[in-house]
Amino acid sequence: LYQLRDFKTASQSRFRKKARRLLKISFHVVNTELSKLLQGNPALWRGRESNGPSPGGIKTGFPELDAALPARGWPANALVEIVTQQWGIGELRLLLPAMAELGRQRRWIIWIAPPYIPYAPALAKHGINLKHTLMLLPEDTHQDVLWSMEKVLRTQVCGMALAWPERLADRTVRRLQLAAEAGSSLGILFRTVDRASPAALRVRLKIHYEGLQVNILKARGGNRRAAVHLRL
Amino acid sequence: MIVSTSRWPLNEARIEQSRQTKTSTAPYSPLWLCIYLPKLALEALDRTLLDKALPRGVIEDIAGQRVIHTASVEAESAGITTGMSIAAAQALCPKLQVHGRDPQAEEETLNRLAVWAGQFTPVISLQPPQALLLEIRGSLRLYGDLSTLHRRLCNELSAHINHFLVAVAPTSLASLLLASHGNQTVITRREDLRSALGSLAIGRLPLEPNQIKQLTRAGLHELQDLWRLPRDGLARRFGPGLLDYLDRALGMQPEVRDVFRVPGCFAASLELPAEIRSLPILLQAARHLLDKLIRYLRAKDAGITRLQFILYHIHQPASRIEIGMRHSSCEESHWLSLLAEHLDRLRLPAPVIEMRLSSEPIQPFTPVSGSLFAQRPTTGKPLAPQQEWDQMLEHLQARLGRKALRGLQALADHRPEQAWRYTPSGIPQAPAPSIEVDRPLWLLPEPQPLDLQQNRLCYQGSLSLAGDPERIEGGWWDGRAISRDYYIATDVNGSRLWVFRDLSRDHRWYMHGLFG
Repeated sequence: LYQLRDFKTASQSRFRKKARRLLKISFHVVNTELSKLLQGNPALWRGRESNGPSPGGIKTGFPELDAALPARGWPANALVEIVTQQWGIGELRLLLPAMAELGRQRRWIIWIAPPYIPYAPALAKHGINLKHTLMLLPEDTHQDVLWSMEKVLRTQVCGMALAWPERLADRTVRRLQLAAEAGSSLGILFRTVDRASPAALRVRLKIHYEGLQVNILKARGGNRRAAVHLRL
Repeated sequence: MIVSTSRWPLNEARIEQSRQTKTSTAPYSPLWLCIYLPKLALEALDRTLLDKALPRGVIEDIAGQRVIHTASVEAESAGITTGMSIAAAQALCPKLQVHGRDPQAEEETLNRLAVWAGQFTPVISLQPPQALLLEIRGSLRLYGDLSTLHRRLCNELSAHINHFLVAVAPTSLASLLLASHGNQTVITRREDLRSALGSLAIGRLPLEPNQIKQLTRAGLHELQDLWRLPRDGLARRFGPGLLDYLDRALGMQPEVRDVFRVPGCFAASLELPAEIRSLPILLQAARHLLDKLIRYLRAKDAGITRLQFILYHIHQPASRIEIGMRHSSCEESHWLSLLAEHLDRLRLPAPVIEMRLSSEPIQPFTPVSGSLFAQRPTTGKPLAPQQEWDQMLEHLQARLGRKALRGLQALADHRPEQAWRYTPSGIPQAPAPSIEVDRPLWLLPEPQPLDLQQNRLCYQGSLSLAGDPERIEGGWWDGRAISRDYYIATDVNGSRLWVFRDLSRDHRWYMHGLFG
């Protein structure tokens, strides 16, 4: 009986060793395969790890900011929320380099119901392509603004769409984010309230003594809450 | 005075005679048949009018006053005449139903009749607002003689319209004059025109009012009075235009007329099984009509850029939806989505009982060329960027209105307000002039006055000015003269503002922009 038990345990242990070895190998294979799949997938949020630059980011024109953003620039095909307490602190200058770059690619910049008049000579001076600038000035409703934004974001020819909605339901933001993903443009929402939202990137702007402080509150594809100081 | 031997009511013997005279005149001389529709304004509306037993009238606005344009026979028997004010008409006949004039419906009816008249002759000319001219000399041989043609035309015409007057004359102007005066005669020889037209009243000729006044003041009341006057004197006193007009009516001078071409239009209507208000069912009906249109267009290899949906209601004027596109298209889904946009915005006054689709004249279809290798095979049907952009603009325009779409343009002017403007979208722009100075990205629509508190400027807290002022002045040449000192100011939050002091008026401070 002892012998038998010995034999049993011996065979079991041998079998176990073998199985363990096999498992190890298969784990290794699966691991490498998995990591291959996961690496470079922009739709996957990988917790603490950053998965390197995802393709398609639009250069912000500020190297410090590019370095802090997971997409190494403004995320393409996505919605960006810019939170500021008031207009005029530099929120447009933050976007100007990207706008100018899109204009050079002859993609359209669409302003939907801006709070003031975008001043054409200043825009031209900063290299914005006015020929590819479209103003949408719906007469009244909030509803029309959001409708236009969604419509515009779904197209492939639009480069950037900007809107200044007063109030927004999370559901609407989600719709806009999906629209932006379906199209190929960057949607920018300027907001005054800071709330969690489904947008791919949310930043808060603050005046800094020598320029602008950009707080990255949420960035899809990275979890760093960074603050970047920009000289404008 | 010439006795009017050749003015006769239609009868066989005379027609025989006219055929003989026709063969004797050697070169081709036209013969015009005029169909005059005295109640067109009323009959064009008859689709929507229901109670035909009651007296009806069509009204129009003349110098802010609503007057009767056309009255039905029942209304006329009550004493209502053209030009009567609506209050007077309703006092005479309290049961009078009035409707606003619909020039578009009139034009449509006239066009429809012109298409119908195409079976009699290829040469048709429209005389808006209410007459149709047919050149029938070429068709006489086909129909045998004039009386057969005349009879068939009148028989068939009565199926389309109730009130019409028909006159035949060798010149189109003469036939029009005769028919519009209710003189339903047939004149085949040019020599007979003078006597036929002689008894027409000058006051009802389509001449300018002051010319008519001049003529009547000179004691000339009928056209035959004019025949008696020497030509040179007539031309001197009333201008060569009048003489020219008379010569054309008598066939002494050639007439120029536009020939009506049958448009390749599509029209179809669908009677709905019930009174419908629901949007999905209406769209379904529209899809059915559009389907027909697309098949028609495909068969002709054509496209259209505009089409019109007319929704008919009970007891209510019809609602119209016009849809336009930038390029001719024959894609059903696109039209349908534009229609949905329109229907969404339209408030239906009543349920719809019938739907009608009509297109503008078709054009050769030029499809936009796409690339050989689809760039985005995953997104289903790839579109050329320009086409996609146009489709999007059409959608935006359909919902927001044409005015909501603007372009931006920088202008070469040193005054802030004159240095930019909105342009209608889609207009190519001149390159923007380059500027050296610092300008704000945001401009306020109107300069906003700033308060002074204890010698400090205030805008949501006190402002501090930085740097030297920039003086901008001038503008006397277009009446928008300014004289301002512009500063860059920083507020307590750190926003940079563009403020100025108005030197020309009250030396007050204003905010004009934000540096954004």
